[in-house]
Amino acid sequence: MFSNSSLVRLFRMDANHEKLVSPDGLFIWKGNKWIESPSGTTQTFNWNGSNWEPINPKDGGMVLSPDSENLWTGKKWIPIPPSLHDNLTSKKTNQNDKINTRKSSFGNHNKNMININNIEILKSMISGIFIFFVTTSMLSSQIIQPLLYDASIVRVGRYALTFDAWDTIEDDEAISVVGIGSSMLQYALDGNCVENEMNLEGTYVYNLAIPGSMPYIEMLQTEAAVKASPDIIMIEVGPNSLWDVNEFSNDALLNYFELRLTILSLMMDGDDDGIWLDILRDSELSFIANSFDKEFKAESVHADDALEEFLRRIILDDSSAPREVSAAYVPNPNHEDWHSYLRTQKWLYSKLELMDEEKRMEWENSTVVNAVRKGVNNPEHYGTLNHEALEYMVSRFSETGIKVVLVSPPLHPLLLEELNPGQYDGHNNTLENLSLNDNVETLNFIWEDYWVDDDFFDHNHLDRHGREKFCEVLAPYISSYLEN
Amino acid sequence: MDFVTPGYYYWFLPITMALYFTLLKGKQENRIILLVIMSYIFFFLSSGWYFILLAVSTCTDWIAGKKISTSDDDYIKKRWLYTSLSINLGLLAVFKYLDFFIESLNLITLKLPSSPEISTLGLILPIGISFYTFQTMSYTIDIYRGTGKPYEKFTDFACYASFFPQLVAGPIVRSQEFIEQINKPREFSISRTRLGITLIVYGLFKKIIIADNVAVHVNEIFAEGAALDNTALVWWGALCFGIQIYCDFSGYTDIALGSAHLMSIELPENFRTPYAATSPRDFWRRWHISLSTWLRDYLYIPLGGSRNGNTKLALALMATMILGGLWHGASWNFAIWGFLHGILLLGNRVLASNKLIISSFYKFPKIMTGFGWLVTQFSIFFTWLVFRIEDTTMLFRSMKSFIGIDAYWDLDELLSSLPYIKVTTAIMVFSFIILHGISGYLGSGKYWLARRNPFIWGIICGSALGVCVILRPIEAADFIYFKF
Repeated sequence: MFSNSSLVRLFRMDANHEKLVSPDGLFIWKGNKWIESPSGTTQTFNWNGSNWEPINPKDGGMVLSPDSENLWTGKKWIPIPPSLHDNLTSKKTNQNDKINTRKSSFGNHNKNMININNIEILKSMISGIFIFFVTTSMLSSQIIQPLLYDASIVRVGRYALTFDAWDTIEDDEAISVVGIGSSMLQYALDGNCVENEMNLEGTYVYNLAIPGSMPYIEMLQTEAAVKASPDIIMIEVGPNSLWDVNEFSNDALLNYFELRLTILSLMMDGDDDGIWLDILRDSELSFIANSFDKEFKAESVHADDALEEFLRRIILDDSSAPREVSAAYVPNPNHEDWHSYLRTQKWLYSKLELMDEEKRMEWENSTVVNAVRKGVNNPEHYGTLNHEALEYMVSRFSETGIKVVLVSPPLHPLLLEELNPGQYDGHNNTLENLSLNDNVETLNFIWEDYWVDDDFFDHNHLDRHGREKFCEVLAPYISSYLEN
Repeated sequence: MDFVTPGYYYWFLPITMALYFTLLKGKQENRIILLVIMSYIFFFLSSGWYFILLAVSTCTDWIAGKKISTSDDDYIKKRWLYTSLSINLGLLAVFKYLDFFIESLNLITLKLPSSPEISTLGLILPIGISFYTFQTMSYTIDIYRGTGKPYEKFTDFACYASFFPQLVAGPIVRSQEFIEQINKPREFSISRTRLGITLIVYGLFKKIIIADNVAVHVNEIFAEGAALDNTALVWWGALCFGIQIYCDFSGYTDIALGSAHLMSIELPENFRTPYAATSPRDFWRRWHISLSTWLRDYLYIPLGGSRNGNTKLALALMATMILGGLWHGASWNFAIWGFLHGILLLGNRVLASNKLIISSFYKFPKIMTGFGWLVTQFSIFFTWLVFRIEDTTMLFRSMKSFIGIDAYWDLDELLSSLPYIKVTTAIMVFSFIILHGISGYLGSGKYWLARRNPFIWGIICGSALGVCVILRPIEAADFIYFKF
């Protein structure tokens, strides 16, 4: 029934009676035959090096039934003595636990502490703090900030370019002319065209105008501009520049402020702070990341999207960024197209040219008429936050010897027709007042009559024809200012 | 204020530590008073004037404990025990369950003709009430049973009841454990401080990076209109919620333990790699350990436990689990959740005594353990649906889909239903699964980390904290267990 090798592992109960249990616990040797034992019978024994030896019952050696409730005496099963009960019950529990959770030790806490000395805690803290700053700055500079440009995590890549652009201008060692303002100037100014038109060697004309912008936001770049010291700064003064932020505040505007100010303050250097901090309202001041905590908070606004975009590019070779031909796309500052982009960007195709007759009628009768009533087309004379910001920029540039040209890009002739008499007096007066500063010129193209429907993208932006015309009329002025 | 409020780390914890170890050096009694004051400040900043309820509970059990310990009369002892239980359970009943009771009553009575609707009181659930009432009740019960001694000083007891790291969401500490901790001489230990910082960083990472980010998927999936007939979607939602609730609660506990270590006080562990559990019984030895042992000692055993036959065992177990479920919140969901866990535990007991199962575990230990793990985790994540989804219609749809009834499998639909941030969350989920296993294998990752050399410690803790700071959600979500 059993081979010799299997019998080696049997347990001899005592010297007089050979009571053996088969290795599988299923049989007991009764002296002359094997009899069936309760399934799972267990035994305890010691291996002396050559044989299995019985453990004396006093030392816990015994043959037990599977439930540990009965003991094999050599003749019959009897209940275990009460003195052994607790001990065996705990063994039984352990055995059951083993069955239930063979890996119950998995996850047991090894809470042993190591003793460390002052040097080690110092090393721990220094390395921890160092790695903390490396991690945060890596995440910011290598993942979040680059992705702000290509419009993959914010709708418009240009929101991020201002301060890197001023760094480029500071380093370019050329005669530089820079335009700042809203999308009106953004759509009007083709830097490359103006450079060619002026035909002045070593002159760059940069277009840093940003969609939706206004002096109240643009003023944040004042100190960076002063540092870069361009030869001429063209500041847009148009419908977007002179309206009252306090009067027309709404959620959309506040969200825009938050987005712009958060990104601008993330991209600026510590020494770009200026009087603009005093002009900002408390609500906007809270968006300026001028402390570690605020900076981290500002970064965390875009961090989730940036990390997702970063991982998609690496793992899935997929991206939500628009293609390079898109108007929303901006190349990174280390990209070879960066410098030429700052001068001549990509613009959207004209809305008016794409309209059919019906849409065109709707645009003329509704959009243009409504636009005239809007706050932006009712410029204030003075006293708004935009005025305050504009005055600050003009005086700061003027006092640092930078030539300031206040430019008013043209409006669609249909919109001009809809204006009430005196509706733009605030605009005219503001230009006149600001021109009293030293080193300030004004170029007001609004009232010139050579702008026609074909020049416009919509009611207040130029299209490619208008841009060419704007280039032709602007270049002589800029050229003459530079020569003087 | 809570553990993800920057103020907790900027001023609350540093001030508490500084006062604890410098100004009050060697004056243990004053330190206890300081901890009580700081705990009440913390509680006031967390939940306002509800700290009065904590004071009521504290005073009640202090007086009851004293009266029980000094009286020889069983009647008086019992009377004070009932007083303590009535006040503590009364607070819970009013502030946590009264509105639920009224709503349930309305549901029944509104079906009867001309029965008036009783309006709810609209009481706000005081933060941490379930935790501190259970804690203070256990003190009185232990004294009544003679298994615990009353505290000698009121300030010690007030500190036990209000100790700020574990006040709001546990762990539920036993009075004898706590008094041993505060009676030891407490000197500043840099080893313990580093351990405390490790636990805090570990907890913050779990809460801010994992829990709050996977929560976005959970909220999207279990929202109205989601395709809950898609098994893939429901599985993903359940998996994410299981990870969210573990990381949220165990993250809180790690920060609590870490904060306590900074005061040189050691609190008991609440989790032990719960998702490595290979049986429901094993799960409850690893999940919310302080609550499960409380329920065992103060509910399950007094109800008869396992010593009075199978029927009483089943009743005691089911009653304990249902009440344990209701402890989480005043909602039928939690009762059903407890009921399901009761069923799982009973099933576990039945299967563990089955001979076929036992012999299978002996014959194929690895396969059976793996199978046990799979079945257990499938069941546990199934019960998380009940915990998460309050809407009955959505819950039943999800439960059916989870087990494949009237459901389909569509991965494309799953991907299109999820929020934009998918790759990051997927990486987090799979990283969690791997790290949870590694942590269990290492005998708890946090203690393993605390024993590393300064540079490895600095690299892991510094980068984890950096990632927390940058990738934190704009609006940090409350800890889930705050509402219990």
